[in-house]
Amino acid sequence: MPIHTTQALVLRTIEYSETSLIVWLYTQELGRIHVIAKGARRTRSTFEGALEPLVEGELVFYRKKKADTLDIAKEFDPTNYHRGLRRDLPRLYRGVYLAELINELGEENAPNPKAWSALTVGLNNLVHAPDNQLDVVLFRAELGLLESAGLQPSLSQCAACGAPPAPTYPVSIPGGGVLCEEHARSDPAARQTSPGAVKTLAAIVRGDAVQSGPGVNNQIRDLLDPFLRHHLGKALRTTRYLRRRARPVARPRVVTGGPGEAPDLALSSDPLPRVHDAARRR
Amino acid sequence: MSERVYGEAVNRLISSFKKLPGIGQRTAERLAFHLLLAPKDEALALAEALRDVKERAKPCSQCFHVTETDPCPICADPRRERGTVCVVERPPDVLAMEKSGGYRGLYHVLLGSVSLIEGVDPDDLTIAPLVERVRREGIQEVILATNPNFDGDSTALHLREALEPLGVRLTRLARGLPTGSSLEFASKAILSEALEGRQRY
Repeated sequence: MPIHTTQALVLRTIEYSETSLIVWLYTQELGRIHVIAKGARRTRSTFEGALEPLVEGELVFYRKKKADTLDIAKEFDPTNYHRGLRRDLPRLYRGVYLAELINELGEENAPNPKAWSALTVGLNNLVHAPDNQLDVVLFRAELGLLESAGLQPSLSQCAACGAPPAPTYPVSIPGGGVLCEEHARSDPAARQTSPGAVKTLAAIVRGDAVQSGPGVNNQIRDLLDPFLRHHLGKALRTTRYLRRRARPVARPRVVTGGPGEAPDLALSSDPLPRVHDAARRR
Repeated sequence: MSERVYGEAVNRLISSFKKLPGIGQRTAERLAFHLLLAPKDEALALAEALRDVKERAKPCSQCFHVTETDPCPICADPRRERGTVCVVERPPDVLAMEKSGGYRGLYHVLLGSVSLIEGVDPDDLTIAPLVERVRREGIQEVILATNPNFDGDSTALHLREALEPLGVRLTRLARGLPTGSSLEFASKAILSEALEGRQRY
């Protein structure tokens, strides 16, 4: 079994057996991989509890020869915990969104330095950016990941012919970006969008410093979400968190009666409700 | 194959055991045959215990801890400090806190933890009843005792967001070096968290 060492970012973990974890990672040298980390849930494991989402570190693992068996993690030495993401909900939401995006976009066992750079730079920027720049930082990372996968939308010229875009910036999601007047007329999928959103995205792609408010940011999401849905064939689970602003107190899905009255639990017909422990549900 | 060998009743038992976490075919077969060969009383006592637990154990209407009486013995105990609520993820966490012997307040069990990646939302937990409780009972301090891991931190952030507007004092369990350990063998994560959370001495 050949042994590999690479920088890696943990994307997702699930519990396996009593003490182990199966871990999805995006690596600098091998793209997306998943490994089994035996004993990782033990208190005195060599992984030291570092195999958690959004932690970056040096991974040492054994490569299995058979394609249908998991590689085995040997060590994981954390180099960046991205703790700032775990202290602030808007940053956390954007961090887990990037992790889910690369988990879907990233190719298995295919190194992609551009994707690695967009991901790690994006996460670092999310930790340090001012609150009003979080969406711009996310868009920049998102577009970087799309570019690394060859899916970056055309924003400054017609996706079909390269001509200047029509003044209203119509966009075709399946066509891959903005359209000129002629192609907008002939493309049934062409839809009106906000020229401001397209211009802001184009400026982000160019690397310009961009200040955009919540209105334009929402319009950009309205553009990127269907674009990603089209290419991935599904909506990302964490997308719904991105538009979440200051949150009102949750409307209870669990309804309590008065003191001393048994709660009516909408979660389950059992006397005891289900425990929502993600790992235990598997 | 096994259906023909064991018969329907034994097979049903094996299938039921296999649904439990961490139990595969072999273990399920071992448990099933243990019960098959055990005295009838012993096997039926297990069946009775399973029926009882499903019929009698309920969540406490105040704190959502598992109980057979409502409110649970902890909520009903007049000697507990009623101004402090310790929020934990699951019922076994209450037991762990009680074993410490150092806490005399009340509890609130969330019945899980937020998992953004796996799709467990804050609304799937008992956060809304907690907010109502803090508002209604004039709780002064809420101790966030969610696990010190990614999902526990995500849960704590959502709790903070829901409870902060109420002006209640929010505290989080300390993280860092375990008592009786030594610096030499502490991991990077533990040491850096201990440094970050250091206190005036």
